[in-house]
Amino acid sequence: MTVAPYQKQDSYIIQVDRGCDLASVARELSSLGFVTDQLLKRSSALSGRADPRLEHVMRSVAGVKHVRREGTQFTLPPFDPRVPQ
Amino acid sequence: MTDLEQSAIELASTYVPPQPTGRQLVRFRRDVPADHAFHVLSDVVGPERALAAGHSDQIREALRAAGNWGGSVLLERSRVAIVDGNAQQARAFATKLASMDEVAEARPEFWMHALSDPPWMDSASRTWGLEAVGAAASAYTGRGVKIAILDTGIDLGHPDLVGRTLVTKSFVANETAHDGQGHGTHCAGTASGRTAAGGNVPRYGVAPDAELYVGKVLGNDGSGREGDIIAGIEWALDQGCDIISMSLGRDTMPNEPYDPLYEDLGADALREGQLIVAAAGNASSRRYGYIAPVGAPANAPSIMAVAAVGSDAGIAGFSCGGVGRAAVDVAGPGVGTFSSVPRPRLYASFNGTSMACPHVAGVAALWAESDPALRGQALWDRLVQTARDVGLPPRDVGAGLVICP
Repeated sequence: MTVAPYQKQDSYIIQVDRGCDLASVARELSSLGFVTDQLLKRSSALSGRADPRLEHVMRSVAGVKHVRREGTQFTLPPFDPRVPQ
Repeated sequence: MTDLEQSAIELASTYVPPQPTGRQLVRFRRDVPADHAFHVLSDVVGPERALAAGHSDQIREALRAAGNWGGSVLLERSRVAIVDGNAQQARAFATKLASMDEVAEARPEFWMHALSDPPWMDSASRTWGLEAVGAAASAYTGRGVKIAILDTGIDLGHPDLVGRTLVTKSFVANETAHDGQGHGTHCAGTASGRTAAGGNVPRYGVAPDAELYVGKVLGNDGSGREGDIIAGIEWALDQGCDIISMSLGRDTMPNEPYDPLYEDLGADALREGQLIVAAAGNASSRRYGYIAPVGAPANAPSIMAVAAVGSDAGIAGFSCGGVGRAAVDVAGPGVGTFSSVPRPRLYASFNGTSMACPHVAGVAALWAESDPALRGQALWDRLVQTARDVGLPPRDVGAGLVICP
């Protein structure tokens, strides 16, 4: 599938079936336009970036178990004694 | 008299070293069958002076009998022998046993004391949190145990770290492992701060002799990408860390399912003899009757979720609870927690389940030091089995307040 040049990329966590070769799946996703940042071997997961329009295509790649946005989900509050940490 | 001298005098006057009973404890290796351990014991102390006991009634009876004539008792389940006799003779037996391949350790038996009751207070020699979990009275300090702190890094120039070997790694792009925020330095200090009580600084580290692995997974702005956090967990597991402490997370919706990615990591860790603990979260407003569910990743069943209690043993108003699908597993001190912060301030007190979590990690390290068999699931079980009932429901504190060996 070819998509028009994108305006933005979102960060994703892609879980891969544990029986599959992580690097092979990463290569397949890369050919679609996914940019792999990290191969997380113990977790059998990839972190990286892609055009959000590719999300449903990435889900269809053999070995891909789950695709979700990563985002900056883990944020500490201000380091202030009055604020629970 | 200077403050330093005054504190030293106060410390000297309050510290009570462990008191030996005169008996010796000999711990056999776990892979030595109980009957073989008994033969070894009999060979050394003499068959007429050795008894074996399998269950609690037998143990009580055997200890009473042995106490009358200076005999020795093997506790079959734990493979621990209590070697009696006069103190000199017991020491000689223990020394001989310690030289044998079947024996892991021989040491004096100490008198144990009831844990102190709340309210706990900071003193010149230690923080209230260390008092509450019994760290100050424990014979263990975490020696030989690896603790990973996955957080904002650590102040690499903090005076309490001088001369200490740290293993550090940053997973945050364009940032070193140095802590430019403060949270990580505080958490690392609680788990394993090395300051000996003295000067005007109380002891604040639960396991000061543990080996500290610091993974920076949150940036100096206090936020972190999930990919970096997962990479940090994998690094800590690969480094063979016995305990991985994560004072981080995000709020969850009621009945939100846990993320299988974190559950898989937690379960893998337990299987491989490692334990991940995580802060339950601070999203509750209990004074208004609202209890928020345990956050992620603490809501994964194979990651130990830690709630926070105060020095009165009451639940902290902000501490998330076991509502919906996720449960709290244990609690630790997490209100008014004194620990290290980056220079120039050096020390400060903070509140939060982030502060409770490294207390639990430190206590886990002491248990791990006490018995090499206590790793992974066995360590989890021991923390839960020995947790102190502080009169709060499992929804709030799980099994209770963790306690040191």
